[in-house]
Amino acid sequence: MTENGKKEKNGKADGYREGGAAPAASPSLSAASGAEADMDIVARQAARLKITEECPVEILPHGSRLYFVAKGWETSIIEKDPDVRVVETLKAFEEALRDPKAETVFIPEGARVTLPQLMRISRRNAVEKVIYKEENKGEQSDA
Amino acid sequence: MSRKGTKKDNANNKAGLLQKKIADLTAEDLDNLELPLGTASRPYPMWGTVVVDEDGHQSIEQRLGAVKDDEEPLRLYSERKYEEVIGMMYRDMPTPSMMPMQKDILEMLKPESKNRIYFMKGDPGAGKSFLGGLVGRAQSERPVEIFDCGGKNMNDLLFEMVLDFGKGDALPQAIDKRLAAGAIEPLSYGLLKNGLPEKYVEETEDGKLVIDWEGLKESGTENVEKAYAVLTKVSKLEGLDSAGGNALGMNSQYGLAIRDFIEGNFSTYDEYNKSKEGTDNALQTFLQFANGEIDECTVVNPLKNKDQTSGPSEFTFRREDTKLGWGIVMTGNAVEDGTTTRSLNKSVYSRLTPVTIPKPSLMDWQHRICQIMTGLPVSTLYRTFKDKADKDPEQFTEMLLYWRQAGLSEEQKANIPQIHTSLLKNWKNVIEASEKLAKFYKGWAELTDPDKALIKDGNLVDEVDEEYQKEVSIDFRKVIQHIQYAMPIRAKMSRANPSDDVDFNPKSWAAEPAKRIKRQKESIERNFGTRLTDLLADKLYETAGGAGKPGLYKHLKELMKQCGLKDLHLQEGAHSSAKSVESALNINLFDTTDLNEQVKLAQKMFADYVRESNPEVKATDDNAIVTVAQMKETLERVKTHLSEDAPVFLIPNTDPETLSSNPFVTAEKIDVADEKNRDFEPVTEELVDHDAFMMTLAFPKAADQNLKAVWDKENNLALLLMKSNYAQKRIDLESDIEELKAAKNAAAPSTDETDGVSGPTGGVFGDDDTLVEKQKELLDLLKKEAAQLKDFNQPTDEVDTYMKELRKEIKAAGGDIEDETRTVTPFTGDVILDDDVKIAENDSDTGIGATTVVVKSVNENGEAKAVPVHIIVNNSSKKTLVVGGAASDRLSTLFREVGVRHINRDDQNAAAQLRDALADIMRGASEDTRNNVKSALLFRNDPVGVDESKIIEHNEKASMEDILLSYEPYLGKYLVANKQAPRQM
Repeated sequence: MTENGKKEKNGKADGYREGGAAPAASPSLSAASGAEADMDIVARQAARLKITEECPVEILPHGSRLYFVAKGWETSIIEKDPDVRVVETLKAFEEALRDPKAETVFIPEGARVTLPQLMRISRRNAVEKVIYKEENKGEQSDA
Repeated sequence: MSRKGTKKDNANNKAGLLQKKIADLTAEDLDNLELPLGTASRPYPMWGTVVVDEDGHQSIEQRLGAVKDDEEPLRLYSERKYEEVIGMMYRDMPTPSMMPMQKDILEMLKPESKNRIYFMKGDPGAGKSFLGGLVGRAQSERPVEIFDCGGKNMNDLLFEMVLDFGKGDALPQAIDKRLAAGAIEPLSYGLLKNGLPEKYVEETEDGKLVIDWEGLKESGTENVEKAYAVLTKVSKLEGLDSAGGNALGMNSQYGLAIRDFIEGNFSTYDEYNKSKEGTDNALQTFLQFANGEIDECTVVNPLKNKDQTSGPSEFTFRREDTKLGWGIVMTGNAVEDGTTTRSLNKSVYSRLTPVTIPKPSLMDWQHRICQIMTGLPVSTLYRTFKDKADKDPEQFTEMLLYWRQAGLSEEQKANIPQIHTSLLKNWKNVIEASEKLAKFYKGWAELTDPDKALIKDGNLVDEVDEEYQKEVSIDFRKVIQHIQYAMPIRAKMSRANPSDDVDFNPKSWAAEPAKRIKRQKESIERNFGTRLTDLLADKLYETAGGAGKPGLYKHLKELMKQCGLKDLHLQEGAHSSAKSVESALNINLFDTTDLNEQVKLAQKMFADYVRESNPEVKATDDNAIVTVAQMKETLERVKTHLSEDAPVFLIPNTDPETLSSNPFVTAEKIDVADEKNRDFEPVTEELVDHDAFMMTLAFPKAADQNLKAVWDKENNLALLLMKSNYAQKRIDLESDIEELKAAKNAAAPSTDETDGVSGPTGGVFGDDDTLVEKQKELLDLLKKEAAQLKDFNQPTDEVDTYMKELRKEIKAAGGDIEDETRTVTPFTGDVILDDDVKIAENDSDTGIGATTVVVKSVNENGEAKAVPVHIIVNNSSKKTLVVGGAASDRLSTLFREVGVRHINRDDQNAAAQLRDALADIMRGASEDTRNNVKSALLFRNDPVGVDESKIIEHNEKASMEDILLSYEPYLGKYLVANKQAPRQM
């Protein structure tokens, strides 16, 4: 393991991308007009509030909260949020856990990150993050 | 600049200092790193031994106290900012039983400490590795690794064999790509699936393999060797071995213990006594070094040159190379089950002296429950700061909210669940509920522990054993699961009702159901208590009742009752100041200790109402309608100006000219049951508006006032009922007397009529006797009536005069009136009423009140009509049911938030909703009480279009839903807006 697993953002592995880079993303904050930026912020807050109030959640070993979110407008907004780290592989997930700058992690549907492995990785890294795991509506976990 | 200020400014200059050798740190470095925890003005809760004075005797006890020492506080050496550390330490504070361990660990990490290792043992879920992680996280932002010792060779801590995938992890990436594309050879797939260590490979539901490469790389020497063999074969099978960059090798390298020593990291070795037996022999000298027994030790790499690998041959730990950040927490399970958990070597015991975490106390349970519900150990903080919190609850709320987010980034703050904030603002409810939940969980854990359960009830011997205890394992992890499950709003189950209005048309079932009830947004905290306690009731059944353990299930249900989890109303109408867990955690929007917040909510609510009801008002800014200060003043005026029993209603003022200075005006109630209002003719236009009245029922303070004013303290209805009852009986007796007199006159023409007195002669004697008996019966009735009128403080002149005349008549008829006291109810000074009347007056011991008021409803064309609003309250469960017309979505939402159930009588599904609402508000009520509520409503309401002679028969068959949805007011309480000089609030 390199430097105890520490990696800088520009040393990203495959399966790792910043939020906001998702396909069909809205214009970046810097390009957006003030009103659009405000709308984006409101939408992000609304999505997070809806998720925390309505989605099943599991508390992971060191206090991280893992939300199981059905694919929909909420996940679409979370995925585009520049403050959210989007991960598609276990390796990228572990790197996000180890990166103090990645406070919120999003695992899109289809990512090669299974729940037991996600739990094990969370157990071996003492960090407290918020993790959103997108799920197909028909298969949503009942944590 | 203050010392604190200097430190804050230097926070960014601290990076890397923990990785410096202690010997190389300057005094300034240490000063920069040192953060005090537990000073005189900022005490930190701590559990430990104190000397207690009791009745002049002193004893040594273990109690919750605090570290509050400016000279010698707890010291934490951290590269983080003070606020980040303090936030973490208050939020993630260990349970009281584990606080001494936290203290020991911090002591161990002081620069002067040679002992850098701490070993604690405890039950699963006690929070051991969490505490290790917390200390590591508090030290710095660097990742804190938790090393899982389970099943591992402990020598790996010193030297480990790792897989080497070369630069860029090319081989894993190539395999992953093929796996994702489904392009891997079946044989390779089989090898990966069955050949790699089970823990690191998983097959998804759609048949794809996911491999934890990072975990596999450092999975321990045995696993690495196994994986190496498999991957070598797969690499060949897939033709990846020939591709450039797909290197695969195996190297020995320093294990975690050496790496952490070199880098100055803090780490946790989890489940140490689950490691492979006999593998920790090589660790002994290292453990001696770590605990400060020796100052130097050299460990040799047994993997060197094994399987053609290269790597370091040895490592020497030297005291002078110790870095300030270096420290180790080892955890182990208390239970030695002989299979996966083993007993430790004697030498490990003597070197590390493991500390055993006590079984969780009630205080520990409560602490963890609070942490899970709110993100803060509210109960422990309250106990520590009790006097200040009681004296200034609002300030304590502010502190709680501060600790909840102290040192968090904006992103982290945005991730705090709203319910945490709501519950913290209602911390008194949290403390009350968590105390009961703590008793419940502790009791549940004990009932599933065979040693304790059998002492309680020997009959549980067949139901509770060690296997069952392991299976259900009631520990903190269960609390986490339960509370988290109860957080989101979920579908709710109701009791089946055979009369439910279900759709029984097969044709309509083919189509998707119409969304007949528009979903009203409900906040997560509004019914959190109900969801949690329903879940716990389900879990009791699932783990005991449904698992063939009837005796245990009975005990658990009893425990649930004793701990006051649900609003069960064990005794009808039993009033108690203690809230159940259910009601304490069903948080009302306005139920906050923060007055300012309450006022802000009230302002918004009022402004929304004004905009909705008065199109002339165009202001979008709430302050332009009414300011926070004006609203605050108004609410305070309500509190001070209106006496508790004042029958005055508060109605929103919609006059744009005056509303900002007087948001509310008053209205009065005209009760037709009151004799003086018997001729009242309501003018519909003058009645209070339906929507305005409804809005006040959701409004803080106004709702309390209006619900009080609705009820009739003068007992008008009871008086009316009493009088009409006597009037009816009088008519019956008078009629009998007239008939007897007529018969007597007809049968005895020879009677001497000069003095009007019948003589006891001949065949008419019997008739005279009957007449006198009837007259005496009437006299008795009048005496009772007079006595009851006195009870009601009513004049008795008319009855007294009547009695005087009647006495004369009795004497004239030859009767004797000496026995004046027979069968007469003595004057008691108390009104004795039937329970249906008491319910109608909201004065019943059942805690239930039911009445009807009349307001006006204005349709789209501006036409007004009088409409009833029925109100049923349950004073025990603090629930209110209102049956009226339609309410706006906003108002419906507000009703939910403040715990008022509103039923729109015009909703096509109103009957079903009403059944559900009635079942809820009368939960635990007896059949008699239900009938009395119905009777109470019938006092003031009559069926529409039913012939008067058939009303009684009709009423007997009517259900409560019929009365509430289709009857019309008969003895109305009309709410009339004050036309002249309205009292302005």
